[in-house]
Amino acid sequence: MRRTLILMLLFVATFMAQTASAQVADQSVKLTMSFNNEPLSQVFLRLESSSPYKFLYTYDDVDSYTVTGKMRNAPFFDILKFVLKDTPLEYSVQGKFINITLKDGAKRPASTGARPEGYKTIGGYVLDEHNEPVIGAQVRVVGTKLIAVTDINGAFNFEYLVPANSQIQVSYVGMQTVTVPVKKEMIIRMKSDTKALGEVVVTGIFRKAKESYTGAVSTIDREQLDLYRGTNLIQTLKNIDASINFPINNVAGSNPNVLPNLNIRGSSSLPMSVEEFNSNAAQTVNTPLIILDGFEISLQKLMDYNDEQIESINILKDAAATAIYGSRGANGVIVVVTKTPKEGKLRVTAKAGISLEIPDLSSYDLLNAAEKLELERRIGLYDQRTPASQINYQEYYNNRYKAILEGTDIDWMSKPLRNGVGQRYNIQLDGGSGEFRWGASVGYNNIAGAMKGSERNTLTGDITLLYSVKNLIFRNYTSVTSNKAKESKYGSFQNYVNMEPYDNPYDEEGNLVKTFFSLNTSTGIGNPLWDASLNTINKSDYFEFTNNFSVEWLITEGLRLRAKMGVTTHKSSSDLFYPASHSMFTTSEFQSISGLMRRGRYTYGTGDSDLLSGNLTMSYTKTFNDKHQVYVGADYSISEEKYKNLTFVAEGFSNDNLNFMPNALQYMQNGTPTGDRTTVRLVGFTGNANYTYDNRYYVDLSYRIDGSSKFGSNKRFAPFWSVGIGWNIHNEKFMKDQTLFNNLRVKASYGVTGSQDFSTESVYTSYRYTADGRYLNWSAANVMGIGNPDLTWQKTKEVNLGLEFGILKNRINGEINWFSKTTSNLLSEMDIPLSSGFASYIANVGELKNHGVEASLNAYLVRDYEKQFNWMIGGQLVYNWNEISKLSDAIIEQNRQYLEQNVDVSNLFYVGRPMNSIYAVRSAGIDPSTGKEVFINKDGDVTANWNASDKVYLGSSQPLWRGNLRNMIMWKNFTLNVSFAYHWGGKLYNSTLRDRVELSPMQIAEKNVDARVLSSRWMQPGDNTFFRNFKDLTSDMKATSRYVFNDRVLELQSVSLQYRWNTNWLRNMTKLESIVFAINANDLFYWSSVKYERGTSYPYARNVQGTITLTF
Amino acid sequence: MRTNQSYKKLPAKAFYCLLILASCSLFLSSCSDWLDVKSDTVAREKNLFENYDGFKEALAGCYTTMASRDAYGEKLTMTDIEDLACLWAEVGSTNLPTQYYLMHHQYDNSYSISAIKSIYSTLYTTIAQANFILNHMEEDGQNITSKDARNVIQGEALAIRAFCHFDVLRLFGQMPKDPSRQVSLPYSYKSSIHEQASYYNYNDFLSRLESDLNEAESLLQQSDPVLKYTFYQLNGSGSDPADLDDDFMMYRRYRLNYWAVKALKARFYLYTGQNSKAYAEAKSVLNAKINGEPVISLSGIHDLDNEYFALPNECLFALHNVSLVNYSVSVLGGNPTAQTGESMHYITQAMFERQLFANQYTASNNRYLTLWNRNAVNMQGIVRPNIRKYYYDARSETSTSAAVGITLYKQCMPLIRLSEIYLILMETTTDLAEANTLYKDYMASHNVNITTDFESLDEVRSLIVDEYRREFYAEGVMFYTYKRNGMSTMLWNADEMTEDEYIVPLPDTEYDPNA
Repeated sequence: MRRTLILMLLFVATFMAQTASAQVADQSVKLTMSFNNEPLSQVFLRLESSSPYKFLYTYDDVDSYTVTGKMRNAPFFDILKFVLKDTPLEYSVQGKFINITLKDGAKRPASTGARPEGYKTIGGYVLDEHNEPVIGAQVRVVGTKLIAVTDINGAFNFEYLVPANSQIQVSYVGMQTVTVPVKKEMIIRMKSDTKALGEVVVTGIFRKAKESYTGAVSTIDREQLDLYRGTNLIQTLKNIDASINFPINNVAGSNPNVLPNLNIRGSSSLPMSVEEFNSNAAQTVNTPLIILDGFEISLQKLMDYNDEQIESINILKDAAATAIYGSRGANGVIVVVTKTPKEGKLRVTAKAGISLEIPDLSSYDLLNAAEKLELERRIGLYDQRTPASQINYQEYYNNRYKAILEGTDIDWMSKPLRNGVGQRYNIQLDGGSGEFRWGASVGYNNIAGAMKGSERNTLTGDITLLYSVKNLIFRNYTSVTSNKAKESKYGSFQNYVNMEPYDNPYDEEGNLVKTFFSLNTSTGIGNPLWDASLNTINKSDYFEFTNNFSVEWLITEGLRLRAKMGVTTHKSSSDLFYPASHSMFTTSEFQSISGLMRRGRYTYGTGDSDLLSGNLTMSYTKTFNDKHQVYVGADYSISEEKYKNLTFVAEGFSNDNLNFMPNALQYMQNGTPTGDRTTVRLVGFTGNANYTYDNRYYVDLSYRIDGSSKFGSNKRFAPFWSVGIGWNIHNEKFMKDQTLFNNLRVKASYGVTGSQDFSTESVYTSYRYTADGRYLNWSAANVMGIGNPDLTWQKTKEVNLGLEFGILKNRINGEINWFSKTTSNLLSEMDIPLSSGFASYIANVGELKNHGVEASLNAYLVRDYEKQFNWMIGGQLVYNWNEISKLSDAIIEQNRQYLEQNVDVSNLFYVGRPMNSIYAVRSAGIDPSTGKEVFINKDGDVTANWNASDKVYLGSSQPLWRGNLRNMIMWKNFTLNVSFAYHWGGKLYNSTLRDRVELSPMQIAEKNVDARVLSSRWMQPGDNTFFRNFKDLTSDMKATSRYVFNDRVLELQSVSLQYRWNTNWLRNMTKLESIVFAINANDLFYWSSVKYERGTSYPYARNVQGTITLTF
Repeated sequence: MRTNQSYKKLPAKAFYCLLILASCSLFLSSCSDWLDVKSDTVAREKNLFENYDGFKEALAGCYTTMASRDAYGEKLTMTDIEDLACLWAEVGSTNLPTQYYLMHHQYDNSYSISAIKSIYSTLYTTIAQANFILNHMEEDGQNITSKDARNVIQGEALAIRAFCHFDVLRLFGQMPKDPSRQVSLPYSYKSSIHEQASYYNYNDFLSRLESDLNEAESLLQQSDPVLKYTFYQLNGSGSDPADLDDDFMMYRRYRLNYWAVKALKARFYLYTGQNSKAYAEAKSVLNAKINGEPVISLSGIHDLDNEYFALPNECLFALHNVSLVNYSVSVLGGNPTAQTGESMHYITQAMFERQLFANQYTASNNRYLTLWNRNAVNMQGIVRPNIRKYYYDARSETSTSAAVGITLYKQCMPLIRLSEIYLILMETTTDLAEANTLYKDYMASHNVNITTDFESLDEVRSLIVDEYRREFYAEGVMFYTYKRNGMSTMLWNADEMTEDEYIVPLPDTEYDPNA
């Protein structure tokens, strides 16, 4: 392999040498020119037209000179010297610009005389649609030869008098040319010209014209990132695009240190284990591939990425778009493009902001102290059989009652919470000339979570260097990220929700109580605030260094070759320390003499990973006879990633304040270091071809062959491909005369992509050597699990039909995509009888279908450039149906056996049902006479007994419909953006009911409960209630339809208000180009059809951010 | 003009570029090796058996799996199996819920279900590992150059498979005597995802078990060094230690050796009611001699004097367990200086004094005097005797020789002891005189001198069950003894024992693929 690389580099080197000489030949072109008393400015214009250079000069400097003479077959610069020889002017070359300036000490010549009447001096600014200055735009007074070029601030100025009532024309590459009447102070807005330059889709490997792209892609630009800003980039994406789906992680709530799950266009993988499936938590198998400037990055890196450095994000959704990623593309691809430094003099943008995390407890409805005690009394916790114990229990009751009368009613939930105040700063610099440009940024983001002490700090820095010489462009991007994450000392929020409101955490002297009296256990219930007061440590850090280098060689027009090389090193560590006084050391294990010494525990983890990857991309584009456009691209990529992690545990800390690992007495008793080391290697070859006829019809083909160390050796290489066609109806002749549609396009595509989330241990039966795996003095190998040699990668076939339209000059535009994707060879754990020696193995169990529609519509209710008032509304609607279309015979048989033999398993799979189906026994409600639950068996008969085989399908936990609604108002320099998210059509298994309402008296004695326990549980015969008798424990924890609810949610997910201050006064007084004030608020309100507690281990929080951006 | 130029140049450049990419694709095939990443901590089954070392590691792996806490490391010796036999004092459903539900034979409780499931699955995991060895022996057996080593490994793997299946039978199978409920059980020959073990009725299951035992016996008979050396010599001890080139053939006591298989057969025949066969097998073990010396003899006095509480020198088969004392202390106690904890397995003073050692000559009986911390107290000062069988003071490991002593004599979990052979012979003999001699020898090893003879064989047999209880505490023998005799009462069990209590139900994940 190494030899290949060297060979390739050799080729590249020889090529470079060749082009360099070609370039010199181009420059030695000789020109012949004659001048006859021609004004110097005119001469410069002629020179510009016959060379690649542009002239920069002050009109007054050259105004008084004319040129006369003739040059024959002279090089360009000889001619230039000739025209300047009689003037006090000199020239200097900067990239494509030639600066004409006065020689040192020379005086500006006197003006050519009186200026005519009616002429006036004019000036102004040229800005683009994002209110950013347009630098280097050409401003011409129509009908004259007067030309000015905008400076770094977008400012231009004619020092020459301009005739009144004339017009000026502003032009710039990639922008629509604008012609406006002359005014004294002008602000000219330019719009990017989609026709001229062509919008580009960045796929991470190739750059494709959007006009002829058949894949389904949504593009998120810089402006949207600012308007929808969440606490981190992943949340921002969620706020913008509904096609990215975030399964709710109710346990983690708004914990800033928990990575969210996400998927694009529904799940296309089954979870590996049943536990994972049922916890509904870690559905990481559906995480899309994330590409930053051509290199794969982790979800965590995306979450911590300094979003100020992002130019745009493209979300590739269908197979036509993702086939170029082959075996990694099936879950969709997120392509992140970083900013390219801008040309010009030094520009500084500084940003500062604060971010508030305000806990949202609106979903909690707990009993207060008096109500809780009353509930305990009514369910008979204080009723005892013998008079002796009755006296005791009466006293327990009286003590609590007394405390309540004295005013004890503790709001435990507020104890670990705070309004988290975080900060973020960012400084960005860029500058440089045409040949050499650079950009650098430093960002600091501190998120303070809603639980005390919970925070995430990220410091990022990066430098981008861009150097172009002749037809080579070198680009180097270096970035470092340092992250420190801290978990709250207060532990799980659930512990505080559980606490009894009549227990006061402090005694009369104000000291923390260690334990509270409990009716159930002699040891009592621990005070979580006691543990929180200790010197506990729970944190993790990482440091990441990335260097990406690329060389792009424009071989000839249309043919380019790019080589890229990326290195990423990631080092992480984690610390978890519990001091000796922590309540976890109160168990009997730590009561003996030696146990006492072992109190206090430190767990230290360390890990590193190195990623090395490279690719070589060639692309060729050419238009023949003005009608036939061809694009061909090929890419070869190779990568190696090595991971290593290690964990040690030490114990025995004599002093609570000594929390350095070497203070430990010993390593954990019977413990060994644990760890893992793996290498993953990948090679891929990708080809892509695109043909467009007359900008009307186009066809797109992609092919990829992937080799991976994760595949079995029998199937080392896997092929993937896609084909797409499209029709730009708006370019047809018959559309020329209509004015309704300015854009109308249909496209269709089909492709095959893959995903491979299995390890080689799933393919081959493997033996593991462990530290304690010794028998006498012989080393021992134990079987880890049973391998499945037939295992193959998951294949996703996807059809996509799309329609895009723009009506009334894009006043209304929208897009609708219908897709259907079939994932076959679905991987999942397959249970086998334990008598085979193993509980399960990984198998290609079946086939899963997702089909759906994604529609988006945006409309300008008001679009008034004059008054600078725009009002846009828009929305997205995503429908996704998911069903299992095929299962292996083995799994069907397994399901049948389970039901027949009445085995209670946690999940079942049936053909024709959604993957995330909820199966439970139907409930006929609560029998008013007994308070017991009555069930309906599979034959529809009423029964008192719960049987696993009576489970029926009750719906899917994944909502059928999702989407968002947005409303944006821009008036002058104000921008207001409001966005709602909604979903409906799914079911929710409400575990709150099980855990906080349907409790037994024993459990009620231990924790605070939902208010519904008091108000709506069955107490006596005749009660017609939803919740069952306290004493009915027969169907404890068994899944019934009573816990299954319709899940309908509307959420106010994002509100933002921006004001841009960029008046002349500001510029003159402070030298500041502009100041932008912004407020962003996230997750403000949540309305749900199901009453359940949101955020169990960590509460949900409302996030409000204020930002100020200064541009110099 | 310029466009024309680039037109001309294009084919040459494009050709070079295509060449690069084409060469890349050519190298795809050589990448195949580069893509084959092997792990340091993991070996693949298909590669493991390429040499003798792999077979050795796989076989050692079977024994470490057996010695795990889910099987003979704890559940099948110290706790769960003895809970089923109601040997321990009831601690209560909060401190030791699994013990509570198993003692009451409530198999539908979630604690019982998970305990039973882990025992069952660990037994079959061991069987699967033995099956991998046996299946590879057919194709890759030639990778072991020594025929003896081949025979020993194959014989042991067969014996491990039989040993575990036998305990599946004893735990989950039907009553060996007068059954009214028939139970079919899986007998596994191949562990693969495509073939699952078939279920066999009682008689078919027995014949499969017996055939594995016979095959193991005949293989070991050809090559087991235990037929040339004593166990003591094979431990590398004494003045005349066995001098074997292959270290893997040493320490036979800790593996299923030839004599262990013979003893296992005796146990098997006794359980299935084939008493004369049981007698013959047991007798052959007792009479086994090498150079005129017995292969093994009772070691009660010597071992207990040396604080080898598990009686390692009379073990025909024992497991070595390196982490034994790490958990045995919290499970059973055994430390003479520590109190008896509330969540340990202990017995009450009344059970110990009045019932377990009732009518015994406790003045000299070394099991009574040495094996138990009989005066240990709990936190409240109440006497709670606990057993020392699996205890040793880890700090005593001060020298290399002490470490060897700990490895060979203290990290030991007996699975078949010579004492059991004596009891089998006493139960199955038809000769009263022989029974009397055996009993005297047996009790002598307990440091009790017997002077009065039994008057009938019935009198001998009436004593056997109590003697099993005294002898094999925390060795996982008693429940099977009760079950084998179909006894409707157990000492310290208030409830009547019926077939439903004796037949532990299979985990609910199990179903018969052929049903």
